[in-house]
Amino acid sequence: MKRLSLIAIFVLSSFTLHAQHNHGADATLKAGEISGHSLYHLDADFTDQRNKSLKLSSFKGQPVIVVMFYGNCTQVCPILIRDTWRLYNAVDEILRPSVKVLAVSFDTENDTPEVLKAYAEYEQLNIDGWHFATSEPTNVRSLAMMLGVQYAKKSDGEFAHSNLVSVLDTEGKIAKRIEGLNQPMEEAAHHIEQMLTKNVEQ
Amino acid sequence: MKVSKLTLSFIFGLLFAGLASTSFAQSSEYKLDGKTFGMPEAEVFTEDYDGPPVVGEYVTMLPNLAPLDYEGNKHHEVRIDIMVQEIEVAEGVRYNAWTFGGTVPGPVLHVREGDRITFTMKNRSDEEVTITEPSKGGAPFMQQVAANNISKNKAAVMPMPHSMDFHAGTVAKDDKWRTIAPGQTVKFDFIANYPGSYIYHCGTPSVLMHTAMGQHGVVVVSPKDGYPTDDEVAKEYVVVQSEYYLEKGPGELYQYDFDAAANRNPSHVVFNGHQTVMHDNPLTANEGERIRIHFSNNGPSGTSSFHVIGGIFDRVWKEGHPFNEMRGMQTVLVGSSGSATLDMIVPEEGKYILIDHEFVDAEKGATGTLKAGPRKK
Amino acid sequence: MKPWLKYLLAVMVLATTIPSRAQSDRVFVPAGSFHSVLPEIKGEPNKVDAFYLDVTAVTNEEFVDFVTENKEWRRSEVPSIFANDSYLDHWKSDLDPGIEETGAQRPVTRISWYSANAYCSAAGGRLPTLNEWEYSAQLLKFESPEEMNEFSKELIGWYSRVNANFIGAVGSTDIETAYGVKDQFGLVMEWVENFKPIIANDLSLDCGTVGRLQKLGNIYSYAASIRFITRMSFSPESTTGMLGFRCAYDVETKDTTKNSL
Repeated sequence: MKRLSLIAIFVLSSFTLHAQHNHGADATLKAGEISGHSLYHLDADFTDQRNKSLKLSSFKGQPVIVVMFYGNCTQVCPILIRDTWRLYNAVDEILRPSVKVLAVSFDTENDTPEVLKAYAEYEQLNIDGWHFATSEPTNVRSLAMMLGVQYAKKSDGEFAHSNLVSVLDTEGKIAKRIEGLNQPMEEAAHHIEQMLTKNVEQ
Repeated sequence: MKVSKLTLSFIFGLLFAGLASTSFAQSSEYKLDGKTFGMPEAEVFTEDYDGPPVVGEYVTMLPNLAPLDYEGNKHHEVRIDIMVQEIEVAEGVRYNAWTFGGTVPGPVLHVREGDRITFTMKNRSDEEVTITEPSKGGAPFMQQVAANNISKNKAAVMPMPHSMDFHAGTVAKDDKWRTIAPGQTVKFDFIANYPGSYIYHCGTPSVLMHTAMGQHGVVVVSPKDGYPTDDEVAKEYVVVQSEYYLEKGPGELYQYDFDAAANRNPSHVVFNGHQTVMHDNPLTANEGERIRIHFSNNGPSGTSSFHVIGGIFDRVWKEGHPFNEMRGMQTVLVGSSGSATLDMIVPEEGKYILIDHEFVDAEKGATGTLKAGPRKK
Repeated sequence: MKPWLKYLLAVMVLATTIPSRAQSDRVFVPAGSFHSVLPEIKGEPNKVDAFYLDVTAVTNEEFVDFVTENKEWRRSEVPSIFANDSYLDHWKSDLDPGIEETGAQRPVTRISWYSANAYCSAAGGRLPTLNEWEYSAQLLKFESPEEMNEFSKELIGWYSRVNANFIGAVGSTDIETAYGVKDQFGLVMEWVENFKPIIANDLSLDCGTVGRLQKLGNIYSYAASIRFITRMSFSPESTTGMLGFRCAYDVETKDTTKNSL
């Protein structure tokens, strides 16, 4: 567990610290421009369980919780999805409708929008603001790289993967990473609330 | 060097290290048995740094040791960057060394027992770094290399992951000694809790290859209460033994010989990184003087039976700890990554040979000269 | 069927379906398995399906064409999340790699994983997976285990010798697999799709790592360990002077049917 988090920090440092070193440039962004370290640069189309097309940049202005999983995963992924729910649910009730959730499947072959819909219904999470999505394999891999998620398909069809829940801020930058299963969510939820209240004040 | 950017990334480094720490085992400082443990988490970041690759007042080139001109303890800010340098290890034998600070062995850091060291290291293996020109703000090491370019350095580029493992530090290795990619910088603190001479080396696998390629050096930690003979010592030197495993490559340069390394069959065993450097530039002393040698065997794989032809070690402190005192030793056996602090009384004017008395090593180069002048009146 | 014949057929089938890089620049690598230093199941070889792989690494010349077409991947345009500051910084300008200085047909380096991935997508392919790359790399013809050990020893020596300032032209190493894939060794290191395998999370990179990876008891696996470990240290935005790439391509189901005719 400790090693996992170490790697997480290693990966995180290489993302975020580098991100901040261009902070000056970010501060002078013109309207409509996106930060150099925003995940919105991934100009990929995702399709969710409602068969609706969306891009990461569709979430602009809203914090989004991102998780990567796959539908046939019966052991770990339900916990991972439950963790995502725990984070979502820990956000103050009034603010919660402004939080979006994007759950992207590694299993681009099997997890079609229809399968994802069934999955969402089974998990009782086919609700507003929650998107269970798929995309081209190259986009899924790129998203995983940006988040620092590792996965590989094994010959038995299962996926080996890291367990990570991420929070993107209102500009699409990684604001929080929760590595491993069953982690406490209060701090991350508080972070999301702060983002939202700041948005209201502006 | 763009200072503003650098500072920014440092500040945010701290900020983000804090934010990211939800699942990270946090240490806070504590004292036990007079020693200080529990260093803050290491930071890994990228920085626009193109300043001197070696920084620190008490960082020198072998065989020199910077005198500790301060009382009590000090907080050192030290930088030793990683660079690739084409260097000479013996006449006609040059290879692309992986280095700390540009030389093999790397720079000598001198501190006192209990000192805190804030260490910064950028993996600059992906850029050409010239170390033979004096640079402003650099360590005494930089001036010494510029004045005495023994290995005839040429900058080269071979991006590889690297890390730093200070044996002088007592920390969690998976935090402080972590591997960084080319272009990344690692920064961490450690306290020199124990006196003695301690090697440092790259801990990235293959550790054998990285160390044999040149990534090792020494930290000398002087005891807080000194050694009993300190007042009588006229000269202090640092001597490092190490092995090279090289064979001729397809071009002019030599390259790493995997078989030789795997079979402990070095092509060269040397003092202070070069087969003849300690004959070309002998250590000097005078008849009747007590000299001190901080001897370290940096390996990677061999032992050393260190002896001075014509001398007997008056005092020997194994690993350099003042409690480990022995007297009247002809030869001191030092294993890989071990050390000894040695006092010797120079008996007469003349020439003495430092030698690894394992003669196969001596014949591969592990010898050096101590030249003694007349007795000072 | 002789492998070369299979390859020929495959190329004929694909000639009309894949644009971009000429079909003669890629070869068919049949399905098979190989012993990895990171086996999926301990002691078992990793299985790999058939795929196509570029004969050589992508060159500066080819990458210029790509960034000309895809403005967002020019060094002045690329967002920092997709590449480090040294992205293509050995080039003279956005669209001039300075061939007269670096030499013709040199593999493009200082490109990030994201840019390599985008290039391969645009070329109708993808980056090879870690297993595909390693599998292909092992398809070298050796007369004896001794010869393989000699080759592997030389490969470790290469890591110690190489200077990224002087990289040879693609195809110059004389190292070629049984299926005609060139320079997987001895020129540059190459991006693969999943360069950071899952196990990277469980392996701290320390003195023991080589020992833990080196399960096969030969020098090849020692060299492979160094390669795996080096790859694990990369970030997807890494852009070093020794890091290039080549693309792989799926074998369409209809092609496989025709291949087996």
